[in-house]
Amino acid sequence: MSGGHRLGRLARAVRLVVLTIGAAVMLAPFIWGLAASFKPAAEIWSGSLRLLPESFHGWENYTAAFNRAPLGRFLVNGVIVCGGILIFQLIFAIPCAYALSKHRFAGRTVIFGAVLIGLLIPIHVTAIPLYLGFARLGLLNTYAALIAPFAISVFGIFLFRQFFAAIPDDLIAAARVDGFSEWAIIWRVVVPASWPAITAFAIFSVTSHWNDLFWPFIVIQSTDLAPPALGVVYFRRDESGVDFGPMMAATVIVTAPLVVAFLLAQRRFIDGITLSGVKG
Amino acid sequence: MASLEIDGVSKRYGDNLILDGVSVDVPDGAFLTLVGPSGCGKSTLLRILAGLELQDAGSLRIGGHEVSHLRPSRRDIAMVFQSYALYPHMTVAQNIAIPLILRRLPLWQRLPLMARLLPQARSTLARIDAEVQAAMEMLGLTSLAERRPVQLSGGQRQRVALGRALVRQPAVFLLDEPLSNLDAKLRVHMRSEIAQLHGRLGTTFVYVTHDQIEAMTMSTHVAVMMEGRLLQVATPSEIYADPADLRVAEFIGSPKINVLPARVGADGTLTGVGLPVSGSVAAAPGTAVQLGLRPEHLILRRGGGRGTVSAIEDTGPERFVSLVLDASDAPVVARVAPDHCAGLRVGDDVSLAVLPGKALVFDHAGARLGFDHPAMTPGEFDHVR
Ligand SMILES: Nc1ncnc2c1ncn2[C@@H]1O[C@H](COP(=O)(O)OP(=O)(O)O)[C@@H](O)[C@H]1O
Ligand SMILES: [Mg+2]
Repeated sequence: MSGGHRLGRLARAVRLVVLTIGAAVMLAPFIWGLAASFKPAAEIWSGSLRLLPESFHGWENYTAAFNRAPLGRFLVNGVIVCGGILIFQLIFAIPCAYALSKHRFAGRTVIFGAVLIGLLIPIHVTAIPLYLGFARLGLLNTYAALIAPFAISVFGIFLFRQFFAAIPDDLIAAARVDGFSEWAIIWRVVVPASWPAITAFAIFSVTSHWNDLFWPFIVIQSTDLAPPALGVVYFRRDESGVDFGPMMAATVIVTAPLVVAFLLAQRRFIDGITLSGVKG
Repeated sequence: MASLEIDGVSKRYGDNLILDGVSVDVPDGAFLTLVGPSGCGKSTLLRILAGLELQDAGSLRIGGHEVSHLRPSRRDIAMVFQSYALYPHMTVAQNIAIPLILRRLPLWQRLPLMARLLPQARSTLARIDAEVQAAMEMLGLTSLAERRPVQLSGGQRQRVALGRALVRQPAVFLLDEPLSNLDAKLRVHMRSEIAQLHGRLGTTFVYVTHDQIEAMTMSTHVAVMMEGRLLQVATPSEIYADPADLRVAEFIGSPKINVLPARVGADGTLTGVGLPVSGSVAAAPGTAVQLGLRPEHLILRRGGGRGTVSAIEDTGPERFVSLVLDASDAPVVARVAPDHCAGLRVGDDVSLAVLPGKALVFDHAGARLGFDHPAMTPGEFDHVR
C-alpha cells in the first residue's frame, strides 16, 4: 500500500520535472529577452550567460524604446485591428455555427465540408490573390486591409459548431416555444451558454493577430498603421545598427498586454478547450 | 382552455414512416395521455403539436382553430421537456418570467435601460413579477427564486419547468415524459401533483409517457400508440377492461395479460384452451383465435389436474402464481389473494377457471372479437372468492 503510494509520488515528481524542463525551454527566450531589456548593450554582447544585469540599464532602454518609435501607436493599432477582427469573426461565426449545428437544411453537409477544407488552407496560399484584390480596390495600407481577410474564421465556425452541438436540442426547442426569435436564441440562449468557447476562441484569435507579422508586412507601409509585431520590425529597421536593449524593451512592452489578458482569462480558456461547462 | 383535434397526422423521417395517420379529438379540459413503447412516435407527435416539427399530412386544431401554419410561440401552448430544458444562465425567477417578458414587452422595451425608464414597461414588469411570484408559491419555489438550475435537485428543476409552462396560462399544456428523470418515490409524488395541477387549472393537458401506471392514474383519456398508429383512445378503465386490440391489452396491465391460443368450436364456444371458458365467439367455426385472460380474472383451485404450479411471487398484498397448463403447455400467471393460496407450493397440481364475462377474445391479427357469455349463476364461485 505504502509502496504504491511512494511510486505515485515518484511518478508525480518525474512528471513535475519533465514539465518544468519543458516550461523552462519554452520560456527561456522570453526570460532572456526580458533580462536583456534591462541590460546595457555591452553586457548583452559580453557572451556570459548571466540573467541579472550587472549595471541596471532598464530605464534607459525603456525610455529609448518609447522615444525612438511610436510604441503607443503600435499598441493602439493592435487593439483596433485585433478588436475589429474578433468582433467580425464572432458576428459571422456564431450564427453560422448555430445554423450548422441546430438547423437541418439542404446543403448543410456540403457547407460544413467547405468549412473543414477551409481549415486546411493557410493564409500564405491566399495571400497573393488577396493582395492583388486589395490593390485593385485601393485598400492597401488601410485598417480594412488588415481586418477584412480575417473577418470570417473557419476555425471559429468549426470550434463553435462543435461546442453548440453539445447544447441540448430541447433547450433550443424550449426557447422557440417561449417566444425567442432565432436571432434571440443565438444571442440570448446559445451565447450565454458558450462563454468558455467564446473566450477560448477570442484568445486564439487575438494572440495570432497581435503577433502576426506576415500579413501586415505585405499590406502596410505606413508606420501609423503598423500593428505591434510589424512595429517592432520598423523599430529595428529605422536604427543604424541593432540596439538590442531598447528593442527588447519594445518587445516586452508589445507582449505584455497579451500575457496579462491570458492570465485573466486563463480559467475560461482551459474550460473552453476541454469543451465542458455547458450542461445545466 | 381549448379542445384539441388532431386529424390524420403523418410524418416521415427519410424512408421511415414515424406517424401514420394519427387522429384524436379531446374536449376542453381533458387530460390526454399518449402512452406506448419507446420509439413509437409519441415525442414526434407532441413536437408536431408544439410546432417544433412540421407534419407531412394532416391538420391540428386548438379550440377549433387550425394551428399547423403557426410558429410554436403563436400556438398558445406551453411545453415541459423531459430534460427540463431550463436556461442555465438564468435564475429560477428569470426562467419562469421569460415567456411572459417575451410576450408582453416589445423588443425595444426589453433593453435593460428602457425597462427602468419607461413607466409603462415598469408596470408591465411589476405585473409579470407578481405572476411569477404566484407561480413560484404554488410550486413551492419561493425560497429558490435566485438559484440557478445547476444548484437545484431534479425534482426542483421539474417544478421550475412546470412553473415556466403554467405562468403562460396556455390553452394546452404539452408534457413529454416529465417524470422519467426522477427517482421512483419522487415520481409518484409528482404524479399526483401534476394531476392536482390539472384539476386546479382545468386546462387541456397532453401528456406523453411510456409508463402505463402514469397513463392509468392521471388521465381522463388514454391514447395507446404503437409503431406510429393510435390503437385505441378511451378512458383508462375502458382501455383496461375493453381493449380494442391485443397489443393494447398486452401493454396495459401488470403482470401482463395471459394469451392462450384457442379455436372456435361448432357452436361458437372456445376449444383447445385447457380450461373451461363459457360463452360464444362471433366468428366462423374452426377459426384460430387468441384468448386474453387478465391474471386477476383467473380462479385457482387445488387439484383437478389441469396444470402445475411453476413459481410463486409474493408481493405482500397479493401473490402471482405462475403455472403451466397441461393441455397447451402455455405459461399462465394468476393473481391471487394470499388467503386463497396459503400453503400452495411449486409443483402442486391445480385447476383454473375464468371469472364469467372477463375473457377477451382476439383474432389472429389481434383485433378484438365479440364474445357473448351467459349470465353468472349465483353461488357458482362462492367457494373461491
Ligand atoms: N429528427 C429525427 N430524424 C430522424 N428520425 C427521427 C427524428 N426524431 C425521431 N426520429 C425517429 O422517430 C422514431 C420515433 O421517435 P420519438 O417520437 O422520439 O419516439 P418516442 O418519444 O415514442 O420514444 C424513432 O425511431 C426515432 O429514431
Ligand atoms: Mg420520447
